[in-house]
Parts: sequence; structure tokens; C-alpha cells
Amino acid sequence: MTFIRNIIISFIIVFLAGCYPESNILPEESDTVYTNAHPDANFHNYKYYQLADSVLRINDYGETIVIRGTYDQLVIDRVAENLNANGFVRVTDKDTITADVDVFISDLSSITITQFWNYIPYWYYTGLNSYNSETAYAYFPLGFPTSQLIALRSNIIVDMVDHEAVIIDNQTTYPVYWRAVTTGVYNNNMYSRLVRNIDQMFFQSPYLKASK
Amino acid sequence: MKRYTIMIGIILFLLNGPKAQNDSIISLKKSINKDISLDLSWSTAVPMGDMTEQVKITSGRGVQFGLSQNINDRFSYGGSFAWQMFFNKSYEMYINNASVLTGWKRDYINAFMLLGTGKYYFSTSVNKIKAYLSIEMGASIIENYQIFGINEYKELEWHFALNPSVGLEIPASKNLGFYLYIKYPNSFSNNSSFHYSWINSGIGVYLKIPD
Repeated sequence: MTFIRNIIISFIIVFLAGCYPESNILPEESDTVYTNAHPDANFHNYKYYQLADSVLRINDYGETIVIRGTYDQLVIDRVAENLNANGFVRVTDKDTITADVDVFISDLSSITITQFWNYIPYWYYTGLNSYNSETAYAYFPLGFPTSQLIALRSNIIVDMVDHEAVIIDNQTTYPVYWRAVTTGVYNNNMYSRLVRNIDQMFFQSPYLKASK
Repeated sequence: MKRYTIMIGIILFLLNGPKAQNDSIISLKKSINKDISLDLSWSTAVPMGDMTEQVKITSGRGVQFGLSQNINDRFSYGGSFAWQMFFNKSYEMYINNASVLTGWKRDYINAFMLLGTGKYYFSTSVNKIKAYLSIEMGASIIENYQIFGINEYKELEWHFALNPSVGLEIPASKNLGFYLYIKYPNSFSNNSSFHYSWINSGIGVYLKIPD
């Protein structure tokens, strides 16, 4: 009887393994990189950029969280390296040259965010520390997700916005010209993953070249 | 001498009589052959049609079981159960206007089929190898499971299934043999799912249990 039971259990294990091969997903295999350029943006008109020296974090209520993450400096430096490699020049408030665009890096890992395959929330700034949602759709040939992997996640967003604010509906707004999002399961070794994913943001945005 | 020759002829005729009668009984039995047959096979599958947009890799994970009974030498009927699994893992890049999305995508398609089978054996055979045509009809339940990044998509749908096939039965002994087949399983689209189809090629063993 025990023998038959072992046979049945072995059969079930082999069968389930056969149904889902390679089901052990490595954290780096959960990484995705999404980029979007605003149709009105002409990157050849921009050259000088300001890059915030800290990473923005907000909670579910949109309030700013002031903590410094382990990988903040890495992310800031890597974004700057890629922008510089594409011909952009970083300026600060101390410089006499006025920036054409501002670059903000946000870490939204700690908030509840709905980011589906075919619907990517596309925010624009109203003020520098708050988000407003704008409807934007990207139609990818993927089904609507029925669930998400349950794990801590990393969600880094890089935005290139106009340096000059515009008034839309009586609100001060900074239009987003370029947005890049990398999302994945968080683990203790994010260093190489963040480097690779930030590089991927620029690799899949070949239009992002500064004016000469 | 002539008389002896006639007598030997008569004796041989008489001896051959019961044998000829015996042969005719066997051939009559054969004509109403109602053997029960069990079969088990391993199958590979090449995705076709709409499926190729999701998986392109040939599957080597497939098993089919069958149970059938002959009506006569030409026809048999029965039922079968089949499982075929498709797996694809690739780094994908999706582009939509100015939006680009990249990441690892896993696709799992598990198809389970429960079918009624009708089989027609061709009369001609070489070295007792028998060719057949068969048609299987029934239901399939297909799980389509995709993982992209941290998102999962799972669909589990019933389909109407129709599988035509051709094959060869190669007897190894009186009750045991091998068989080869090529099959074209179809699971027709329903409201929310597309039409799944693939080409199966399989090899298996069969066991005939005499009636």
C-alpha cells in the first residue's frame, strides 16, 4: 500500500514539474523596463539638464517620505552617466546656463501602484512633489493580468520634464517629455540589476539624443 | 499403382477436410474480431496557427492513453486522454508608437483532452503492419499561463476538440506492438480564447487483449 502511495505521489510530482518547467523565477527575471516619449517632445532641442540630487519617495497619500535608500546614489549617477553619454550636459543652480529640462528620479516601491501591461499610468507633475494621473494607453499584445507575483518590489521611475512650467486648468504643470519605469521583485542584490535596467531605459530610447 | 495414387489422394482429401473447416472458423472469428486494445504513447508537438504568436518552440512533453475495441477487422471505437504541454521563455520587446516595454516572458500552455475515438484500418498490410485513419472528437481544457515581469495572466477554458490522424500499427508479437502516428489536434476558439492547434507526431506501444 505504501509502495503504491509513493508511486502515486512520485507521479504527481513528476507531472506537476512537467506542467511548469523552470517555474523558479529569479528576481532579475521579473524585471521589466518601460519607456515612453511624449509625442510633442523634440529632444534635439534640449541640451542642458538639471538632475535632482535625491530620489523622491511618496506614500499612498502622496506625501513625501524623506529617507535615503541604499541604491539612490547609484541610480542618480547611472542616469547622469547615460544622459551625458547621449550628449546632454548637467547644470546646477550655480551655473549661469539655464537648464532646458529637469530630470527627476522617483522610487515608488513602497506605494500601492496599479501598473498593467496595457495601461501604464502616465503622470504629469503639478508642483514638484506631487503627481496627477493622466490617462495614457500603450497597447501591447499581452493579456490583461489576472494577478501579480506576491513579493516586495522595486519600482524606479525616471522623468524628464520641461524646465519651464505651463499652466493647465489653472494648475502649474511640468509636462513629462520622457518617462522610464523599471519594476521587479526586490532583493538584497539590486546593484547589477539597477545598472542593467537603467542602461536598458536609454538603449530602448534611441531618440534621446541632445542637440549638438 | 494407379489405385494406390487414388487412395492416397482420398486420404489426403479427408485429412485436409477438418483443417479447411478449422481455417474457415478462424477466418470467421477474425472477421468479427472484438479485441480490446490499450495504448500509451509519447508525443511531440509543433504549434500551428494562432498559437505560433505565443509559442514557437516544439514541445516534447506529451502523453496519450487510449482504450479501444474492435467492431471488426476494419473499425474500432474507444476513448483517449491526452496531455500536451508547451513552454516558451524569451526576452521580449513590445513597441507601440513611442512606448516600449521589455522583459522576460514565460508562456505555459497545458492542454488536456478527453476524446472519443473512431479508427479505420486499411485492408492492405505488409508484414502485418496496418495503416489506419482515425478521428477523435471531444473536449479539451487548456490552461494558458503567462508571466511577464511581476504580472501573471491565467486563462482556463474548455474547447470543442477535433483531432484527425493517420498512423501505423506494427505488431511485435501476437498481443503486443508499436504504433506511430501523426495527428492534427484542434481546440476550437470560444468566446474568450483563440483556436489552439498543433501537429503531433508520436510513438507508442499497444496491448491487445483478445476477446
